[in-house]
Amino acid sequence: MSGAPGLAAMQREFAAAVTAGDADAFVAHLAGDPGRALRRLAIYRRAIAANRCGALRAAYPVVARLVGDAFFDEAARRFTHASPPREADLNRYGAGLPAFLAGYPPAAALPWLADVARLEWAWHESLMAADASPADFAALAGVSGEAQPALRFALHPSVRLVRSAWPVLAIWEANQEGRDGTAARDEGADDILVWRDGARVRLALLGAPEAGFLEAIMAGVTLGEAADRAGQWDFAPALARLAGLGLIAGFHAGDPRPA
Amino acid sequence: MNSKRALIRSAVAGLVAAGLGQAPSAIASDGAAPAGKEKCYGIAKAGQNDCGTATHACAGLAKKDNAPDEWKYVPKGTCTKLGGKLKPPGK
Repeated sequence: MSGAPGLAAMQREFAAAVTAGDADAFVAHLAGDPGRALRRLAIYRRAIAANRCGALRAAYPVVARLVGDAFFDEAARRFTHASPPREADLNRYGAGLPAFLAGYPPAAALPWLADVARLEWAWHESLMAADASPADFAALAGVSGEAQPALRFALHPSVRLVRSAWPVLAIWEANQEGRDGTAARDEGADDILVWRDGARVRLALLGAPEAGFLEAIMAGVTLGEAADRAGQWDFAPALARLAGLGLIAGFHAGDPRPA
Repeated sequence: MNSKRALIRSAVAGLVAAGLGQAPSAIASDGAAPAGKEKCYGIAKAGQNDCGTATHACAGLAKKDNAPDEWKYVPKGTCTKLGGKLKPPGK
């Protein structure tokens, strides 16, 4: 058996055979009829492809409904070839599909499709995100007026913001179970807050100023800078709303004048 | 500048007051009604690494590796219900 590769090399060849369909190197090591071996390897290959496609379908049910099964499966097949999973947990697979769809020529006639996919991925990530307790706001009383502009807030891990020029929330709603796909609105722009409340993912449409403020807070800027960006718009109700939903998980007072 | 300070001060004071007096869930009730309709979807998701999916896949899903056909590039789902009406703002 001097010609046999080591175990690691053999495993790499097996992986190439069942993921990339590049089976010649591996089949050369197998006893028996190569054609038979190839047909058996094909069972693994198709099962893996089907599982990956199934994971994408589970994360992107609205996209699948919008374009139909054949289109979705073909797009998913191309995506999985270009971007195979990098970790074993398929629940985390598919973050790159929105960007893929944005550059997928057959989807060019549906310019809102990638944004619908972004909303679905945000929903999916929100569902899987860690839990966190709300912040203790009483401790904010100890932050002086001087120091308040340097405050930074940490949001609940399930919070996502999806901003689109298209009516993606209306499209998304129209394609939930039992709906016929007819959107209630045909114009955006939709700024959508995504968060998890217990085990449920919730979505709310935000006004543009509120979305801008949330975007700043999520980026980790100070309250002072977020206020600057907000201009004359009063962000207090938006902040109170986040707190009321339990989405402010912490804060820290930066040092206004670092020693 | 001062008005910005005042905005920050009142925003923080609002959080403190609400945090002292009420449960966090009650904070939103004063003046912070949701800007839009809030939708809630509590859908239990199936795990994607179930052995059931993996082991039985070969039976139901071991279709031929079809070469892509033209019709696979034509969206045929509910997107037709959206017609050509959808537009971004300003168009």
